[in-house]
Amino acid sequence: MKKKLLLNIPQILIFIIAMALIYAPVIVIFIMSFTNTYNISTIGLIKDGHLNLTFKWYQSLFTSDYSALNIASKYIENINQLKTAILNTFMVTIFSTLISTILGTLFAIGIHSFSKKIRTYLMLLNNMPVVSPDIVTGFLLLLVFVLFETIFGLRRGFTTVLLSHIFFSIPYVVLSVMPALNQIDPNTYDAARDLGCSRFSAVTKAIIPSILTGIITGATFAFTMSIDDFVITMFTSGTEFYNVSTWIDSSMRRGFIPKSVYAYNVIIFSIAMIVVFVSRLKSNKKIKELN
Amino acid sequence: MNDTLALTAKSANIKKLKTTRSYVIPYLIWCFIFIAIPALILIFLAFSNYDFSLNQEVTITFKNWTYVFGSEYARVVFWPAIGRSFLISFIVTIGCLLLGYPVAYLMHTIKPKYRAIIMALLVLPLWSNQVLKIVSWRTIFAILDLNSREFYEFNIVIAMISMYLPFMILPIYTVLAKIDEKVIEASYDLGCTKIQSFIKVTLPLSLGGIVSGIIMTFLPSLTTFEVSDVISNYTIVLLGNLIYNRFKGTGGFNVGSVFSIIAIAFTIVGFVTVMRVDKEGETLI
Repeated sequence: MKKKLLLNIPQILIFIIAMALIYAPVIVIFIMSFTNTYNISTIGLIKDGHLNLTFKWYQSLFTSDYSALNIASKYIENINQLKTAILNTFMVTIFSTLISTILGTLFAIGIHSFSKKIRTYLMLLNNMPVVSPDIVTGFLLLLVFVLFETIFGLRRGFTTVLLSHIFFSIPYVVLSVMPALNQIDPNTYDAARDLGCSRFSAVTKAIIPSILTGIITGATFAFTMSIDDFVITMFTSGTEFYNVSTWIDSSMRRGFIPKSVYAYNVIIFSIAMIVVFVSRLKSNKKIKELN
Repeated sequence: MNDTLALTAKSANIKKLKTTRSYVIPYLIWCFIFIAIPALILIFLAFSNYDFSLNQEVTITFKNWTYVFGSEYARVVFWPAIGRSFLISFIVTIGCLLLGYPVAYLMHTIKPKYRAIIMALLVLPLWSNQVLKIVSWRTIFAILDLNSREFYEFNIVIAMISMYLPFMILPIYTVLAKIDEKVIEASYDLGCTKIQSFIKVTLPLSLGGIVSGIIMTFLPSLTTFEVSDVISNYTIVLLGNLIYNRFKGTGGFNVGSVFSIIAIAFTIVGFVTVMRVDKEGETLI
């Protein structure tokens, strides 16, 4: 088996091409975050081989005093906006992850207790937003929020963005929790009730601990989808609220993206890399212990 | 005695069902608010002249549809955009499949230790901001001197493959991982060569993942607007741009709704196809 793999050059070649395509923009972001120039002019510098390396974009994220960083004053306003965008992104992501994980888990438990036929229908309903392209989901949510605005006077902003992030995250939580529910003993709930648990604590004390890995997977999905969302936020945010993605988009339409956002992106990516690496090490250790 | 036991079991079962089944009620209300209501508004907007202004005389009309499908606008903007969208999405999907299947197969056959690394490599780019990645592709094309009108379509295809490739690889891998090794061994025992075994056993068994992967790459590439906007500097119009431009402009919701219904029609076709090969939705995550 191993020998066959070593000899399979076309497969390795395709793998390298695939990885190059996926990682090319990631690497460019990394390089751009350390270069001194503002935008398009950087390209000329890369071509000439003159790269002025700098950490100032990273520093600009952690200070409000830009005087030492040699950043043109007209860009300072943009960097302050970016900080608001980062704060907004995290507020939405943290709340939507928490709420959608709780709701998604309860919905999954509810769906699971039905017969197989009804369960299939409910899962069909659940999977619709997953397959639906972002632009369709975004447009439909926008229509609901326009209605909300007419009826309740709810203006588009943080609340509507949070609601829509919860909306598109729940199906992923349900999909992640369902396999875990399929694996636990169907009598878990009854056993807990017989042992004196109330209806609610039977769920929180018996079912939830046994499906915890599924819940964590679901929460990870919800977090990943929310922190990077662009299209749905674009449709539901109105004119005043923005997250990092919609802020990048509007900066680009103005023709200029401050490089601090490249630095922000590298930081987030590095944290994700460390988390993945550590969790890998842990699971490898577990496998070894099991063996 | 047995009867009483059965009865107790039955009533316990009913009690269980009653309590956790009720969790579905808020879910259904939630879906009603965020799926059923907007769907109704969408249909209403597509078949009327209502534009959210007050004291407006609402009439039911097919005007929006004839505008989209049969006017001068249709000839100059709509049909070319649809044609272009389909061509680009088709090439992107084929490209993703040709690159994605071998990678998924490699993940399936490689040692678990390396498989975990490839898996991490595929998931990590999702943590890099998608808009910034598209902007970076434009930078790459500028460095390569490809940032001009005649290369825009090609550039869009490359950027889309780069973005959607993981969504092709992961569902195919999920399905490949479930194939029982014994089935493959049996095919060898029955005299298949490696290639025969792959074509006759592995490939048909992984069809569900291929279908999911195709839908999960085709639909996003058909409906994206940011890739074409950024890469082509707002010159190339695809189906997604049609919808987005209506939403951005004022009073374009009626025609925008028609475009959305078209996109939803494609989505439903895709959705039904995926659900036929994967009832549990396991290939969706």
